[in-house]
Amino acid sequence: MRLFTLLLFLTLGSAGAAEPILPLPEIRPAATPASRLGRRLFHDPRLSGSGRLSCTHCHRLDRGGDDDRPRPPLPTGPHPHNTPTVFNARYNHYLHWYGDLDTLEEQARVALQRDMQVDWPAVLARLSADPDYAASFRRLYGGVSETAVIAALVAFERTLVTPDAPFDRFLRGDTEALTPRQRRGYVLFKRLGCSACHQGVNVGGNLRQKLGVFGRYPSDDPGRFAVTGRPQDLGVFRVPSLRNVALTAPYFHDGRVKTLEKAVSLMAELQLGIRLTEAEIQDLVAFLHSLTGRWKPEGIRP
Amino acid sequence: MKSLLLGILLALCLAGLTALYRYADLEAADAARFAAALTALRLHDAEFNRDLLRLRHGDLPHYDTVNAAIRAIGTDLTALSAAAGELAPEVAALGLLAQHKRERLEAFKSDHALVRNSLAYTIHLQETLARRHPAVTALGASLLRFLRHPDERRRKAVTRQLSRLPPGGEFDSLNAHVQLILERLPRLETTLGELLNTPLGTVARRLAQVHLAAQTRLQRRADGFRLGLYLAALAFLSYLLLALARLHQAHRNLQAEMHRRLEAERQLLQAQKMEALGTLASGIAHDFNNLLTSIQGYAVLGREQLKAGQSPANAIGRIETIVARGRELVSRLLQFARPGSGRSERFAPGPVVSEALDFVRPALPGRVRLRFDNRLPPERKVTGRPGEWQQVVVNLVRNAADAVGGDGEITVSLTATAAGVILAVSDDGEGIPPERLSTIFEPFASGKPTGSGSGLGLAIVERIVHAHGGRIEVESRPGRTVFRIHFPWGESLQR
Ligand code: HEC
Ligand code: HEC
Repeated sequence: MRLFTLLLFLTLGSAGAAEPILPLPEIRPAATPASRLGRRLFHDPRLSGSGRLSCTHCHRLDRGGDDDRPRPPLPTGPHPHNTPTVFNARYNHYLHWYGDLDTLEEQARVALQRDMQVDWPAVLARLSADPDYAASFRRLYGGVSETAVIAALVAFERTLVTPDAPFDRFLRGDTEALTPRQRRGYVLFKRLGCSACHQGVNVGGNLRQKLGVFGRYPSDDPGRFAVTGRPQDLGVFRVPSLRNVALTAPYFHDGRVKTLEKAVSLMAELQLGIRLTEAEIQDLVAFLHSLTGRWKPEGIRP
Repeated sequence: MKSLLLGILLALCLAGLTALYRYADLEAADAARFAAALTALRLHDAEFNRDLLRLRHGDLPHYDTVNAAIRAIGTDLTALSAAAGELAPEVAALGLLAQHKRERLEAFKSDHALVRNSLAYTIHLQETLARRHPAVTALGASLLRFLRHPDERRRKAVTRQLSRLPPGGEFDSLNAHVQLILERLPRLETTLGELLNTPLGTVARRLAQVHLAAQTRLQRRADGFRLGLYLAALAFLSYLLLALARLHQAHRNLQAEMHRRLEAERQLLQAQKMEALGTLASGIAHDFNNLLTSIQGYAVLGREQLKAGQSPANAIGRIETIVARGRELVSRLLQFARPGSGRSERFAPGPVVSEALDFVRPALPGRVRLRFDNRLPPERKVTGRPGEWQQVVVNLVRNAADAVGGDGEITVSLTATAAGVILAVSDDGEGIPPERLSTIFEPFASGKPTGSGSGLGLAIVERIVHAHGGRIEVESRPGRTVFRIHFPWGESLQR
């Protein structure tokens, strides 16, 4: 049997050596004039068609960067998807549940169009009429324009990072940063194979995967198939980042999973084909809590 | 006509050279950017392939670096197409290869994560279940064979072993993971092969060679441009030097000419002075005659006193006085005749003018009356050349004397104004006819019969006045003609 194990390791490699998760850069991106302008825009309901909806309505920066609703309402009915957090979005390889957008710029355009029902000519006129906005835009971008609005929003989104999670400190060598239970949870996370999908600096966000490898998740969402039309993409979603996951309930693309415990046990069942014990679930959940970092609004220093 | 042609030629040359220069520069900058981007792309592709293998061998536990590499390749491609120029089709081909890699990478990552997990589970379950059922060990052996050569025959062998597993619980789980391996591992291997064999790096290397060749050609052309620029610069420089030499020669000629003119003028001035002096000579001779007569008178008186045994001291004293006056007269005459020193000085105009009048007075016909009306405060001084002032006075008075024709009155006056001194010489002669008024200052325009003067008098006056920065006004009607000379107070003078 030993020989078998050895050979298998040779074929596949060990899961050992390096850590699958990388810490976030310790240094926060500094606020710039553009990011400050973007911050105002992010909070400004005048960007929306109705004049009542800002980015923060769905991405609440005091609530983990998303909302508490399974799916936010749109004028056309409920949004097809649960709101993901905007925190650390800059570290995702691609965006949205289908992983179909490559840059924050593209995303912001879609967000304004679909989620905010933007009426561009009206918005540009409104912004130009506001002397404060007009001055900032002129200074930074030479005037108010669609690309300028998007550039400013993205500049702000790039400052939305949450370094200094206990787990990041742990990765940097501070073994005391995690409780024993959290440490057990991390070992489980790796041993069970969660870290095959949830890995990298953002603990996810960098590959697409079928939801329901060893079982079926009851959902009529076609997944990435909706974008590509290829059968192998049925039920395929972007593996979401697990940073700050403790703050972003409800879970999954449809927001139907209310607790982290449920999400974890569903994951094990659907993605790994195993049933977790209650203790294992608690350990994993404890570990996931250690991924909660801190965002500091501008001006506030520790 | 010739200079217009030259100008057009120059402008054309300049435009051409500028275009050449800018074009060559643009091309060079693009080529450098292109080469840099191509090198970066090849590096990123190498990094990408290396990390794929590291993933496959399990010593890279995350996908961040392959993702970063494929993104970087995208950025490099953007830079490449921006600087591609005529290599755009080749860059587009590279873009297609990169796109292919990007898509296959997604398939690779998805399969890789799953296979990796299932292999781990299989190992684990293998170890725990082997003791519970013999089929597990046989399954392990056949799976091992499949792992080394994932072909159809070995896959079937594994499937056969799977069907021997007992149902339920962990055996089902083992079954599921092995199924996944059977399904995904060959695909993973194929994908990996596709990724590593996508000739992005090779095509990039070939493109680099093509580009290098193109660049060499470009370099040769740039050398041509450089030579052209150099030759043009050389031509311009020689032209410039030639022009400079010509200019220098012209300047020297001009200087010599100016010198000749100045010299001639100086001589002319002097000649005229001598002429004026000549005119004065008769008057002075008259004066001298008077002096001599007086001397003779006193000499006779002295001899008679001696005869009478009286002392002739008184008469001798008188003679001495008269001789002193004679000497003074001579010295002043000499001073007038001496060529002008050219140096200006500060002087009171009154005495200088009155002295000049003293010279001319004896030379005037008997019935001409000469009055001097000096209204200048004695302490007011002007800057100028007193000798030339006197020349002006002598000339104007002579002129006036001619105008009154032997009987009349000439008045010379000096008045101060804010700007300077006005020297006015007026006479009550018949006046200058209006049609001659405009030409009187031209040489030889004299209204006098030929032979009576050099004809230069008024021309000289005008020259001197201008050299003093002054100006002349003439006003004439029958019975009254006035020459008004405005001399500035004059701190500095040009000559
Ligand atoms: C109506 C609620 C709503 C509003 C308003 C809204 N969003 Fe979102 N946002 C969502 C939802 C839902 C998604 C996920 C969409 C999907 O995957 O289909 C999302 C996704 C995102 C993401 C991608 C996160 C990731 O990791 O994939 C970013 C970034 C983002 N939004 C930014 C913004 C910005 C900027 C604004 C304001 C211009 C905005 N959102 C307004 C609901 C909203
Ligand atoms: C095969 C890849 C894969 C593995 C292995 C995997 N996950 Fe996931 N995980 C996913 C995908 C895909 C989703 C997104 C689900 C969806 O689309 O609703 C997800 C979602 C989650 C979420 C919900 C995140 C959110 O914001 O909604 C949690 C929590 C989670 N996983 C934890 C785990 C844990 C714990 C493990 C190990 C027991 C694990 N995952 C193993 C792919 C995986």
